[in-house]
Amino acid sequence: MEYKQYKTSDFIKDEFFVRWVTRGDKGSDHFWKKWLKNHPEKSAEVAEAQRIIRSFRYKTNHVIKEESYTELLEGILRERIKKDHATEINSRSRKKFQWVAIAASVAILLVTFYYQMPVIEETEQPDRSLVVKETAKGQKSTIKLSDGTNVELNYDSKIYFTEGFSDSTRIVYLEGEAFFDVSRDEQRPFTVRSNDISTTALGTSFNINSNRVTRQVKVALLTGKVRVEDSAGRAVILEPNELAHYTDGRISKEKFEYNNEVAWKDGKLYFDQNRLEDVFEKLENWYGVEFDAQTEMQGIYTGEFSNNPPLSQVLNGIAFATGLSFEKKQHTIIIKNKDHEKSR
Amino acid sequence: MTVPKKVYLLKSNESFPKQKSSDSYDFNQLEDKDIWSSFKSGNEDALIFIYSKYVHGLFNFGCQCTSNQELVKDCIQELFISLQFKKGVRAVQNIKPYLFKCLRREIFRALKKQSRYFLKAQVDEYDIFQIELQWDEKMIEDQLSEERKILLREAITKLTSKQREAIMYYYYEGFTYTEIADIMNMSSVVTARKLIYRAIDSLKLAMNESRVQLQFTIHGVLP
Repeated sequence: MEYKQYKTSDFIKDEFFVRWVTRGDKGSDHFWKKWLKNHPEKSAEVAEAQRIIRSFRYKTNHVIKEESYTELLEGILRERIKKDHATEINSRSRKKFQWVAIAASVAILLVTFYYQMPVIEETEQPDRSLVVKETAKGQKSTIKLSDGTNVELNYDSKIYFTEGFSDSTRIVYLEGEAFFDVSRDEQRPFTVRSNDISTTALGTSFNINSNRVTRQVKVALLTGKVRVEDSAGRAVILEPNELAHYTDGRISKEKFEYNNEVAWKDGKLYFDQNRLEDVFEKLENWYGVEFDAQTEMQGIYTGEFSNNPPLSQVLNGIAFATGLSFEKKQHTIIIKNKDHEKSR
Repeated sequence: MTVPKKVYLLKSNESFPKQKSSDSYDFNQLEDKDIWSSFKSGNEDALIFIYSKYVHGLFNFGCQCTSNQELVKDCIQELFISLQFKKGVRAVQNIKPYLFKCLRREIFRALKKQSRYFLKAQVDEYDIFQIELQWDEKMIEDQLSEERKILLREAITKLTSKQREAIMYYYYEGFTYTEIADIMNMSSVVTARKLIYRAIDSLKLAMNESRVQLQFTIHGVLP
């Protein structure tokens, strides 16, 4: 029977047709689009067949939990390293057997120690404990991880991880913003989880900015290569100077300006045509202060301040450029309009 | 737990005899068979790529085979571990159906082992591969009467678990008849095709019956 004689029920049995609907292969897609163009009279049947095929669902969809996801993967990777060592031992020549024997006796000794001195072992347990580092507004901090990775934590942010990591993975959780200079270890990929996004690298440097409220995440790569992936498994690979922007459930790639994304870690405050409201919000976070605007704030500000400038220096700069004036009252800084005052 | 770790620490200053993997990074561009051979050659990125791409589908599928989620998780882990080290497996052209086949075998083997210790059979015919039809709005608007939906739902419950399983491979997972026959351990593709044809026919019958009834009621109203 030819396709033009097909009824709905014939289409839903036809393998080539079903594969087009379920998989969307290139070849079948090409064929069916062309065929439909030539047989518009069949479009109703085709549409109905498509809808029937797509309507089959499992009654309950089971989703693997985030913890289980990592737990399983960690187990798999760990097993792999164990096996690597096993084959190494097997492939050694007989001469080296004595070293294996020595290693084995050391292991036996350790076992003996373990059983005789359980107290010591217990004190060693904390190397698997969870470490939390956080900063308040107005604070920044530099953290050196046990693998040599350097983390610059921006204001109002938090990272946590298991001390010493595992044998097969290095996983860090991030809220807020941080710059990572990852120490190279091909055996243990370094993964940062922030909101719904996982960023995985072997040895690179990158900045991640994740917003707790909007759930947006920006990953800006300086050197090396990273893989940025959302919880549904959609991934992009970044090259240096590329930025992955995750917003509304989608990841897009763009180029970025170092000053906009990363300069904060060098102590540089940078404004590039920012709205004044955003400028003061950033200053609130950067210095841990509060502003109170008693005048309308309209306009855009551009300027940069290097070497962790004191707040007074930044405010002088802004006052000069915008005609605003500042007055400190206890913990709040009041923003007024200088010109307005004069004209009164 | 502590002992192997110590041994590992003793040896950790030695170098690993493996190829560098940093440049073969973008697996999205590669074909299944290349990803697979990279995985078999010990590339960790390939392993993580395959895991992250398929684990969600595998878990959902596994949970259709049994309600024991812990068992499904164990089987998935075991599957990935054993595949890495299994030697002499034939070339894998399509990763997804191959993983499904292996996981299915793993789960049913584990269930069988379990049922040796429990008197009650662990596999309940009616519990596994529960399916339903989810219509998009257009379909509902178009022609699908409440009655017809009920009839279809009933027809689905009358399918055997094997038919339900095969139907889901075909329409939901997107496998071919050949792949389905392979997954379900059938002697030939014809068997798989027949199984699905028969299932569709009984659903079609439900649809036609309702059509007849529909006409009947309309005639009944008209003078």
